[in-house]
Amino acid sequence: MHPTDLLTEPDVLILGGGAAGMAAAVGASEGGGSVVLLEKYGFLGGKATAAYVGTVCGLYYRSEYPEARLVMAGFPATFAAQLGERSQTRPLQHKNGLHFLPYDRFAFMLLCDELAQQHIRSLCLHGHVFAAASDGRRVVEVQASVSHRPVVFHPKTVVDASGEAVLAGFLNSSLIKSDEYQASAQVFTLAGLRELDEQTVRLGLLRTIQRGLAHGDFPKTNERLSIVPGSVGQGRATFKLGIPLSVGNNPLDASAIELFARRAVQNILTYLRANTEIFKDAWLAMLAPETGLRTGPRHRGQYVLTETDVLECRKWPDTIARGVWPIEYWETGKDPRMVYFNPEDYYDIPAGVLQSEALDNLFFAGRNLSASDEAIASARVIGTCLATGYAAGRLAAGQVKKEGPEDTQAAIRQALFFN
Amino acid sequence: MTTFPELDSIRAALCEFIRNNLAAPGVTVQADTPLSALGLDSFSIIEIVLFIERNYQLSLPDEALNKENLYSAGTVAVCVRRYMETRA
Repeated sequence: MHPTDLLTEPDVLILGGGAAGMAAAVGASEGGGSVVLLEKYGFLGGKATAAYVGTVCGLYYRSEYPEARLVMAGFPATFAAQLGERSQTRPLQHKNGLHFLPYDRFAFMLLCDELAQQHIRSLCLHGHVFAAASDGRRVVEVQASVSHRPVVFHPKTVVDASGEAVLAGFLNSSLIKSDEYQASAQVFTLAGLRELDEQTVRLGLLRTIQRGLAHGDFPKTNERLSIVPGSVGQGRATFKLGIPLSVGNNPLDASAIELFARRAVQNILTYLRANTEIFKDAWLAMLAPETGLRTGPRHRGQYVLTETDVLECRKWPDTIARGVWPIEYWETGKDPRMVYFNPEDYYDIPAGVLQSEALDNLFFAGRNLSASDEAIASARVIGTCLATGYAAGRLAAGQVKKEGPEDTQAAIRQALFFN
Repeated sequence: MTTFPELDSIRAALCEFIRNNLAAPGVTVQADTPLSALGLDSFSIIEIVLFIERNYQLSLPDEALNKENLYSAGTVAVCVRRYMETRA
């Protein structure tokens, strides 16, 4: 990477440095493209680090066997291996045969930093899009603020991995919108806990919440508090609080959620310290900088992935990624709704899900790919984002290199699939 | 001298509570049936802990909320009896 060299006409301009955006950078670079990446924060990792999701889901088949079996090879597998090694974590088996990889947030950030150095020509942290233009057929210009300086890009292709389909708003292109999106969550870590095993800490937490709810001194709005699996140890535990405010299309929704979440975390900490032996010396060791919004508006692609595609494990000839996570749908104020498909099976994600229906050089990946509300509730997880991101980057680079799309798709399958 | 409820009576009370409030209808609940085999989740297990608090005025300490103690109605009863004796 050349920190002083800001490339304004890259082969591939990637919006967002989360799991999908970083994977897109790797895919684009392996496909021979020059890459510029814009990230809104001063660090990489997206929801995985900013909202601290805490576990990588979507890497392994659902299975009754304790051993986790990867659904894809290539970049998602390599990333998971390096993340696990640096975090000193291993895949865990959860209920209903689900497997996932807990990780350390700082390890995730550093791994992304290293990938950026290897694969991105100009890494633009503190980068925000504020305008974009198309000629009706292609994206021709993207204007951004990079570290508060205006920069005009004329990219050959664009991969929107912003999670919120940020480019669609500026281009007025077709979106898949809902009146209400999935519930948000605030993650935080407490330290100074008594050294007890995870199950005991979980039950101790649950008991004090149930007591508090019964006595009216723990507000019902904070009841969706749980411990992130695999996070308890060395006197620490990481918590996830489901936020009871609805997430819609109003730009101020996120602000209201952030304010609510911080006040709630303060109240929870005060309550736990006063009412439980386990937490009496607890202190706030980490507050995720962002309250995690699970879903938002998505680009409309050449194909829209459906609930039936997911649940029937549909296979496609032009597949470029595989999904394994069940539909995990969080409605505001309710327990998550899980809808499973067959264990030991997966659904294909066809290339059309990552390509704009209207603009030839616009690709998307991660949480804002072209999928229905139900389908994205499965495909949004980090493991799947690593695959759709890689594929989108590779497809974009392939277009620049004037490869036939079928050849690029075959190369992606060669890189990501075991057979 | 303080007297405590007999182990058998604690066991029976726990089984009855689980049968009437937590287990699926028609499921056989015995003292040695693993709680996991009854499909009880963490919320249900906490219901049992809160039942003990109400019924025996005994708040089990946090460290007692472990897998070994919470394996079955029988192991819970043994744990309850032990903490009653400790408290006395």
